Amino acid sequence: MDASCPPNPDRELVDAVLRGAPGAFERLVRDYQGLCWHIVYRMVRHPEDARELCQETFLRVHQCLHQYRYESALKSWIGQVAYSIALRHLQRKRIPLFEPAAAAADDAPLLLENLGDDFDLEQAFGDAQVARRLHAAVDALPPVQRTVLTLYHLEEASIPEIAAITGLATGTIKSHLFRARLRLRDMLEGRLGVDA
Amino acid sequence: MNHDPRFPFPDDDPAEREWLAQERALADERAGAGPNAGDPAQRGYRLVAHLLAQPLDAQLPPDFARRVARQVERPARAADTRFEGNLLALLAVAMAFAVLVAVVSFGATWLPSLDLEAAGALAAKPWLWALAACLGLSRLSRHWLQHDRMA
Repeated sequence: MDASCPPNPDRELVDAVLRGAPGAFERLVRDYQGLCWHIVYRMVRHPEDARELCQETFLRVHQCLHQYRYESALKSWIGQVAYSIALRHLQRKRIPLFEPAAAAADDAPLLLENLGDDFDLEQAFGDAQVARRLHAAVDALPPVQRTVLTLYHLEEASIPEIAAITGLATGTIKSHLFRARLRLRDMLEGRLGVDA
Repeated sequence: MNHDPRFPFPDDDPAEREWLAQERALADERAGAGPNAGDPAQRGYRLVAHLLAQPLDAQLPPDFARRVARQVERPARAADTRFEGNLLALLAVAMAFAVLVAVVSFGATWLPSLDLEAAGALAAKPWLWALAACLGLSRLSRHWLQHDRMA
């Protein structure tokens, strides 16, 4: 192999799966099951449904892997499959994917509120009740918004990567992130009883 | 003037300022800055960034990858077995046909030379039947065991 061209781990793994190398597909699933779970579970919220949809995702990946053309990273391609399967599940259940425009506009007046200087962040970091409240608030966000948030914060995906997975424009993703974080911060401040 | 080079100076748009505050809080959280470090005005976002980086409450089972991989391999293995089975059946039919052709073509010369009485006497021996039954039973039990493992 050319020394100037480092081996592409995606290509090696895909080739191994396509030629049926023992354990290759299991390794692919293990490498990307976290990403798949973060997308699907955040979209559908129901653990049993999410497990089944993750399984469906990897069966689809196995079935269509020969169509993967390395135009995007394998991570984005698998994320795309997971996202489209979860999206179709929600559409079948007629669950709205985005927040209504009126609700989005309601965020504007909250812009300049902040926690007070005397607020002890260290204590809040370890507070299980605070964490529960935040996760409940994340669950209350529209499916696409909470998925974008999870991909950005937990999966540490970049905005272009999220765009490749979801097919959303980067501006739309930034808008989702902005509104979701604003809403979560305001919710925490309100629930913590801190003066704005 | 102290300025974080990772972030551009915000313009006068309050939304832009807020976005930069969110991003700075996320960068501080990822850099492992202490909870009370950084701008006090961003503590709400630091808390949000910290909590959003925690693992989800539910997870996939630990053997998920193995189970999915096995599920994918099973139909492939079943297809292989089917192919082998078909091949064996084809071979058996071809051999039976060859025997039939041989008997029809050359049987007239060697069939009368067979000592039918000796064959009958051999068939009358009980131990021969017992041996055949044992062989048959062993073959069948192996077949059943294979079926159980597949299911």
